[in-house]
Amino acid sequence: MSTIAASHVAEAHGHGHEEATGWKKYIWSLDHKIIGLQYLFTSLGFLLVGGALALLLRWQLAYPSTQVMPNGDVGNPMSLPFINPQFYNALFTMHATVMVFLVVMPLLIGAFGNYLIPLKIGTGDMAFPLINELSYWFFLASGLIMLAGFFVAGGAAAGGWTSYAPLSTVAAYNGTKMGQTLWAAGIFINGLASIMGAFNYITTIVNMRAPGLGFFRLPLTVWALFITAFLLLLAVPVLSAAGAMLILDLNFGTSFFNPAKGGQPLLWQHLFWFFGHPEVYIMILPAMGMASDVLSIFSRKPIFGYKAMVFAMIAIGFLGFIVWGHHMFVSGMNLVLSAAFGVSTMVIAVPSAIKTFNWLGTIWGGSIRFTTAMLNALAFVAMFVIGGFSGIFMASTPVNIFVHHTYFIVAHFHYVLFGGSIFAIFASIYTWYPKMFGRMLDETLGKIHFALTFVFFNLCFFPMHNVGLGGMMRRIADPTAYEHLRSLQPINQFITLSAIGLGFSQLIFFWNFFRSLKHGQPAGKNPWQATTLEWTVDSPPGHGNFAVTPTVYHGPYEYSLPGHSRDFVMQNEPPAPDAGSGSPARRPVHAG
Amino acid sequence: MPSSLLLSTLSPLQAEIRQTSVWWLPRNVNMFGHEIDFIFYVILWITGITAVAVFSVMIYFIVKYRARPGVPAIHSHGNSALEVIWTTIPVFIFLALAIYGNEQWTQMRLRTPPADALPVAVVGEQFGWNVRYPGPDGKLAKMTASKVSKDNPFGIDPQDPDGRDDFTTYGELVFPVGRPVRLYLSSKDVIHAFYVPEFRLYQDMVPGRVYDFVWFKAEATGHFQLACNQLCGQGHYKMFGKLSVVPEPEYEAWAKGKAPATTAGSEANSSTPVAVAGR
Amino acid sequence: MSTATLTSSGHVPASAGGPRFTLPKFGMLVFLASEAMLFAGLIGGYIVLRLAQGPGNWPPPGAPEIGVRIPPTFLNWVMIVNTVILLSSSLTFHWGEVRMRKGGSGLIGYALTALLGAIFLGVQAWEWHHLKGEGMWFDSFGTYGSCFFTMTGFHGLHVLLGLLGVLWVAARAGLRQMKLFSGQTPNPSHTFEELTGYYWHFVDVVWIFLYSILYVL
Repeated sequence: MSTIAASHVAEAHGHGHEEATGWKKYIWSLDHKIIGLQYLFTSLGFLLVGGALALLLRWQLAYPSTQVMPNGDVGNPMSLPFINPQFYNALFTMHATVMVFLVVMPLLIGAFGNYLIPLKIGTGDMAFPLINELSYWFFLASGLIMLAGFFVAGGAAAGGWTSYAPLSTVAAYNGTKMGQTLWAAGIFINGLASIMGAFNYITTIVNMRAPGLGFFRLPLTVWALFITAFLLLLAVPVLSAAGAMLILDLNFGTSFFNPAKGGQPLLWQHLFWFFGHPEVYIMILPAMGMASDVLSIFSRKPIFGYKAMVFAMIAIGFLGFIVWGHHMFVSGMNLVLSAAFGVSTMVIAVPSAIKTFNWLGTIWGGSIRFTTAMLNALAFVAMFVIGGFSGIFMASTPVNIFVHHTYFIVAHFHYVLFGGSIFAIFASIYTWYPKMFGRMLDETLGKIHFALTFVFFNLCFFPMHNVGLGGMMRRIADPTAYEHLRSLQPINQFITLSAIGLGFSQLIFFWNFFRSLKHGQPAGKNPWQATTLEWTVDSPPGHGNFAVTPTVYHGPYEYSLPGHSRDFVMQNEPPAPDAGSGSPARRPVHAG
Repeated sequence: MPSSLLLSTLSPLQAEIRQTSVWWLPRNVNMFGHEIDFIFYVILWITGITAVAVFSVMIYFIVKYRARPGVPAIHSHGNSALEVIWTTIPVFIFLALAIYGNEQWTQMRLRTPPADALPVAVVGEQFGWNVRYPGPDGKLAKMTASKVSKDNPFGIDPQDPDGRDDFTTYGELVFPVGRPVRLYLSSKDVIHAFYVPEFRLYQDMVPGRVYDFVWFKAEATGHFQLACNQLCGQGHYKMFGKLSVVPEPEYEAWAKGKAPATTAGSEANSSTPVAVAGR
Repeated sequence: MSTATLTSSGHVPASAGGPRFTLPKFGMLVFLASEAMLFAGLIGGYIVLRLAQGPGNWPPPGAPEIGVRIPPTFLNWVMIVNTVILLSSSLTFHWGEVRMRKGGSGLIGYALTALLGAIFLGVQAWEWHHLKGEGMWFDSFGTYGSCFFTMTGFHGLHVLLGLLGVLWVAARAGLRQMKLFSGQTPNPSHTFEELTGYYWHFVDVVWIFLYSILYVL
């Protein structure tokens, strides 16, 4: 029996698979690092697409093609005439869809999850390499299918990324039957990719940690991805079910969401947000985990309150499943239920507050290195604070009656998703790029990119709070059509100009990214003098990662430990013979 | 981009609307708006002060603990007392906010509207507003969501005696100042939303349902815009209506001038669709 | 402190070797949790839609009666028998696994499972055809038709996928049987059989839920 089990282990571990070479490496490789890079490059490509869509829709808001000018002409002289209202609806729908499903999720989970999990837990590959590679191809297919909507009759889906029924499910109402169907099909396939990734990650993290690496010695990045995987595993299939119902309603005459035939439009919202709220945390938890690691490395300090951080993330994971109704306070959902969701939503703000205080605690007393990665991580904390605070307004049911579906919410989620997730992604790219490619990114270009991004980001998104409080609805193609919004138009134009600045600043990043592949300074094994296991191997690590499975003796954040010659202790560094079993942190193994 | 170019796209006409509070909360004319604004400012103060504190601490740490040669970082894994403190304080703040917010929510949404409230039915459609007012009897015909159809936007029974003297408009709402108004909201096709920022009021209008829990009392006269705030298709961006709050006698005069609806649905076709005019 | 305390679930890291929950089995169980949520979403939607119709309107007037009646109708009997067929296929699969672990091939058990699974799908197809003949389809009788066909359809697709797995298992068992006849040592790996078994039992359990809410309650 034991020999059978052992053979399975070899089969499953991926040590058994051959290293692919040449161009085949990028198609058939089962190596988690290659798959992670495939995710990275693909989603950076989608980032350009999503950004271009954003700039187009911002242009329309500043200079609407439907604006009635003082002389009676229709169309602002500076407008782009090809942006009609329907196309505008498609623009923001696809901008959100691309950014959520094809950029932020795959960057955080697909790229960094795949690349870092096996390295950080000291194993050779994911539990199921073949499923891992399949997941990438499903992801790519889902993106192409969704974007194909732009080239079919009726155009791409234009019902918003939330695709509320019955607008999305009755062709006569939306005029984009084909595009909407492609959208739902893409979401379904994207969901399959997510689920494949999720059970792979969970299996890997539970079963394949290096000896000595108890759960409470896992870096927060791994913890965050572990919890995220559970959220994906349990939330995404519900969206898949809803997406299937949408396709059936739209194409095969079923009536799940069609009130004319007994269906329930609010059912779509419940199913969507049952997925949609965990999804919010799916997009921020890995960012929190990676930003924590970056803050610790460059403050040369252990994470402040490691266990509090872990329990806060677990709490977020649980609570994330019982707050979905706060997206529906004004949908007409049962009003007492709304009140209950209001309370649970306020409660879920607590773990986020705990995390913020612990981040501050982490940089307290540190010896802070202001690398580009660190600057981005600090920006992540600051922007997450603003995004979190604006969330409290929406969580208050009465205030929600006023700010619901205004630009205030648009400002809020961009502060969390761009200010939070994207800054954390930049921090992570600057931190782990040397590991991935063996070369450093250029710090000067990086700092210019960071400064421009930070400034333009705030110039772009902070005024949206004002526009929203001023009463501007989201998802309208032409604010000048409304008398009460015309006084806000200068801000809208200012936001658009800032957005253009923000968009073009990213070209510096792309230039830096691709230039450094060839011309960056060689990185060496551990350029940041960090402690976790990925820094013990070559950059980039070879096939199979570890020549010998490492044994872990320390927690993940042993920085500035007194009495050591260096200011960091690698996780696999054997304890000095005389140190014995002194402090708990140095015990070779402790219960997880 | 020169700022003159920016300003040139704004006509004088556009500039004269909304003279006050042009970049901030619009004025409030709804009795419930005071509570909403109050909670808004409470949260703004709490979050504002906390944000200033957090950013000050952060900047102080960033400056004070920048890497300097010979000054090592402190080795600390945390502090349990601090964790307890900064868990407990937010719990109380957030719970207080939730409890207070729920109190107001209950007042606004769960309290029975006063008996003398003026009932007004508003049924959205792509892309306009069917509005139905009670006649002299002060009663609206009963609306049944399942009966809403193309020809019967309000889903009423044509034989309903309460509906005989009702009158309808398309995209035009007039409310008497100081009198409670109870809305009956529904939709003919997709989800629309009844949104008037000056009323601090948003409510989705879902097809297949009639929502009767929204009520308010306008405290000042004026002219406002009713906007659809739930994406409803390609004409969504200009699905707006006229909304006026006028003194009671003026309202009575306006209502008298409207002919009663003869059948259930002819009104939608006979009046001018305001919202889609000019497309 | 031994390595056995490393993980809360009692698994020892792979590199430590020794008997353990194999990775594929662990992964399959986690994956099935996700599958369960898919059906939970469908069943949750069904409950909402059904309750929204109010009592007496489910099934809607004029729709073919598929719910269990006393005395049972012909269609009732067909579906009761079909349910028994699917559930017994779990037993035959288990029997196959037991035989296989004892050194046999398990061929008879697996082949019976495939046969029963195929019968189940066939009867399901017949039921769809029958209902369509009575005017009930995805687009008729409102949410009643939508829910019935979508939910049984989703389940049917899962059974089909499982059936393909069972057929492959049966083929492997056939090969194993041939090797046993010729005195060779059969393939010692039972991973594929075990995974297919998990999936097949899961699909059966889902059917118990679906049968309960679609036909009985």
